[in-house]
Amino acid sequence: MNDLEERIRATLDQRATPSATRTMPPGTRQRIRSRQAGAAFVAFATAMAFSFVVFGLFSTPSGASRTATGDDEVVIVQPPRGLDASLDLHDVDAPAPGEWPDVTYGDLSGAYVDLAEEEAASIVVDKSAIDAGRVQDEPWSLVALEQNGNGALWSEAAPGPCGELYLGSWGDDGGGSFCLRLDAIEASLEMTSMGIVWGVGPITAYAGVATSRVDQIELDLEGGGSKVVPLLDGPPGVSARYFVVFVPNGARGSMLAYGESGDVVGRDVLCAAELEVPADATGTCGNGVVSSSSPVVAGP
Amino acid sequence: MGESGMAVRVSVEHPSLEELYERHVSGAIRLATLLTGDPSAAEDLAHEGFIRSAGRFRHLRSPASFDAYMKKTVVNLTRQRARQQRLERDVVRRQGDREPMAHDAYSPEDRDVVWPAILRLPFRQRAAIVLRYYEDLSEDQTAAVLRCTTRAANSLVSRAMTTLRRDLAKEEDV
Repeated sequence: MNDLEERIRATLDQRATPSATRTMPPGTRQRIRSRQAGAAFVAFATAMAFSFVVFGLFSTPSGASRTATGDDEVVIVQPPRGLDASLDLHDVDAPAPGEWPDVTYGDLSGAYVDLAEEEAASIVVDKSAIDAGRVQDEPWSLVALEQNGNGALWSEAAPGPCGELYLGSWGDDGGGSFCLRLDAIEASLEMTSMGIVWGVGPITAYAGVATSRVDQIELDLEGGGSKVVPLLDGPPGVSARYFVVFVPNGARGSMLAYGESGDVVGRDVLCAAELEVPADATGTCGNGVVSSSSPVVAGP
Repeated sequence: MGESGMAVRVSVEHPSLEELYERHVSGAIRLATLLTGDPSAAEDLAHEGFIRSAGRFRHLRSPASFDAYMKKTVVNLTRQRARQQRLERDVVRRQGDREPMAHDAYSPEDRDVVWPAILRLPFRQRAAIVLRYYEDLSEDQTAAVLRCTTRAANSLVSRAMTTLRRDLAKEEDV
C-alpha cells in the first residue's frame, strides 16, 4: 500500500465516527409494510394497465395505413405508446447529445430474462436471451419467445414471435415488449419495431422482429447517415429474426426492411424522438402492431 | 444422516426486523457519512435505505446478501441526493445568488487536506474510493455496488487517485 492509500484509509477511518448501535425507531415496521403494499399495488396496476393496452389494441380498429413503395406494399401502423414509471432511480450516463451511445454486444452471461408465471400458458417457445451486453456501462438484454395467444397477458389475436428488451442487471431500469403479429391486420407485416427511451439516461434504442423474408434492416437517419442493423436468428423453434440498435437520443429518421431482392418490404418511422420520458420512467412507442412498456421491477 | 445415525438438522437463521436494524444501520450511517460528508443527512439516508432493503428482504435468495444489498441501496440513495443537490445548486446559480458551499461538513480550521479533497471528488469516484478503502470491498464487489464493470470501477478508483494526488500536491505546496 502506498502513502496516499494509507492516508486515505486513515482519513476515512477517522471521519467514519463510530456510532452507537441503533435501535429501530417506532413506525419503521409500518413504513416497510406500506412500502411493500405500495409496490404490490404498482405491480398490480401496471399489469392491469398493460392488459387494457393490449385489449384496446385488439378490440379497436388499428390505425394501419398503406403506402406504396414501388411495387411493394408497406404497412405503417400508428404507434401505440406506453409510459411506465419505475419505483427507484439510479444514474446511467447519457451519451453526449447527438452522439451514439457506447454499446457492447454478445455477452449473454449476465442476460436478464423476465419470467412471469401468468405468461407461461401463452408461451410456446420459452423466453431466451439472444443478445446482451452493455450500453453506457448499463447491462441490456434482448429476449426472444413465441406465443400461441392462449394466455392472459397477450391477446389470442397475436400468436407468433415476440421479443423483449430490458435495461438493468435485473431489468430494473424497465423494458418493452414487441410482437410480430401476422394475422392481426389486413396485410402482413414483415417487420415490427419498438422504440424505447429509458429515462434513467436517457438511453434510446429500437428493437424488433422481422420475418425470414427480410434480408437486411437499415437505419436511415435524418440529415444523412445510414447504418445496417445486424439481424439475429431467433432461438430454435422461432422462425423469425431479431434486431436491436441503440441510437443517439432524439434521433429521427426511419427503419427500413429490405427483402431478398433488395426491395423495401417494411418501413417504420423512428418514433422515440417524440417521447417525453421523465427520469423515473420508461417510454415505448411502436410502429408495429404490439408495443408496450413492460412492468418495471424496482431496484435498489 | 450423520455417521452416528442421528439426523442432522440445519436451520437457516432469519433475524427479526429489529435485529436486522441493529446489525446493519450503524454501518450504513458510517458509509453514508463518508459519501455525503454530512452525518445528519447520513442518518436519514441509512434509515431510508433500511426501509427499502428490508421491504425486499424476503425476496433475497440469500439472507447473507442483505448487507451488500443495503450498501447498494445506500449508495444509490446518496447518489440521488447528490443529483438533487446539484440541480438545486444550478437553480441558485442561475438566480445569481452565491453558490452554496459544495460541502460544509468539515470545520474551517480543519487541517486535514485529504478529507476535503475526497469530498470534492465526483460522486462515483468518491463512492469507489470509500468502498475500496473504507469498506474494504474487492474490485468485483465495488463494481457490483456501483452497478458497473470491474474495469469501470477500477477506472473510477484510478481517476480518483490521480485527482487526489494532484490536489494534495497543490495544497501541500501552498
